[in-house]
Amino acid sequence: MHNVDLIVMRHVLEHLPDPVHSLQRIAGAASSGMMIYIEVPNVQDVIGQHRFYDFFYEHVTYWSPSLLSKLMECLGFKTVTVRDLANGQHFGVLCRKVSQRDMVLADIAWPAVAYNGKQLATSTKHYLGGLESAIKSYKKVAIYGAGNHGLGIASCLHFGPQGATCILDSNAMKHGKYAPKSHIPILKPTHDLVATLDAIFVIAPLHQAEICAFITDKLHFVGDLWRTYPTVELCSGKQE
Amino acid sequence: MSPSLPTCLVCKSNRVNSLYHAADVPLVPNAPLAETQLNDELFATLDIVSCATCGLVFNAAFDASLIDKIYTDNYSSGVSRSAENTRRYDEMITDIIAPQNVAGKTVVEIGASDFAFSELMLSHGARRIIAFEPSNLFTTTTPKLCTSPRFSIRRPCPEACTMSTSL
Repeated sequence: MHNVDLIVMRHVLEHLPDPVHSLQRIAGAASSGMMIYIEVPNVQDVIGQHRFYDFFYEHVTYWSPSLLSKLMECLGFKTVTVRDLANGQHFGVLCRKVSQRDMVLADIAWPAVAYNGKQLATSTKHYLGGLESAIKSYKKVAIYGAGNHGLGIASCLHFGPQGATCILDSNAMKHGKYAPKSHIPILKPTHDLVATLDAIFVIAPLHQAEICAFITDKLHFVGDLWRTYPTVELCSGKQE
Repeated sequence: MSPSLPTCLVCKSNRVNSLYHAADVPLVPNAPLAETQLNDELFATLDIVSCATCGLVFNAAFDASLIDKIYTDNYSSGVSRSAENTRRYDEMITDIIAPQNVAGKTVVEIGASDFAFSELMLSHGARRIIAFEPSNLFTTTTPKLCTSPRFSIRRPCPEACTMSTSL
């Protein structure tokens, strides 16, 4: 790997079953001066903003900027830049290989952190209760967002007969399919379709503003439009 | 026999605190089902804990034997080539990675997904991009990129880091 100048690992580390082993293999093969850019969800923001729906099975680990920087330092890298991304939901760390150090991780003085699991459980229950109750107050309602967050939250909701009619998403590969667990159909968002809806709930924290603008400006939706991040909140429509 | 204590994946400590538990979550929430798959869904358990020693948060219930069922040829992490994402990617190169670390350089992208970031690094003057991506989903949708002599796609081997021998 002596001829590689830069390694980019965006949203990969959290998927690895043994992330330290993988990073050690990279560190062992990297030549001095090689850069590595790692981007992951920020667990401090996930827990701080009570985003229980950011915990999903593909993600084995969840990192804070201080822990990842410290680990990279232990593997012989120097942190060049640490930056919050997507309003703090993610962070990116740029490091440079400076030595062949590979420290015994059990002997390290790690940065102190404490997370509050009880508060997360309470806020999760409160969030899902509020969202379910808002959705059930309409006859024809859609969720917008068939990504990890939209589909993850849809799988947590206990819909009665007045559940969501459909999930909307612009990704053509998902059209005509069904959400895991809830089995709500995923459809292409069109003007004709949204014209039949009383309300749309946007569940896509990373793209919320962009999607809300698309729904109002391009689809000309006139019903109730709800955002769901960081709280469930009506942003335009008749109930406003 | 009592169940074994979770071991932290970073510092190997057994001192963990419970953070979040959910049973019967979809194995891959971002993988919508075709009508024929509705009766064959796979579910799993989340037992999210935080290590009291180093602060790593991890799923103590993760079962590595399910990896092949998660990362199939059609796996998608749900990326989007929206205007907002393109703007964010450009900011990453401009403000974090720094253009001088890309221009004229050999770059390896591990987990390149739909190759949008690789494409952007090429436009920032990367000399060569080697993209490791297990999914086949996007290789057919990026023909322009795939024909560039400066770009190549590799399927990761079982252990991604054996790339040191395959470059």
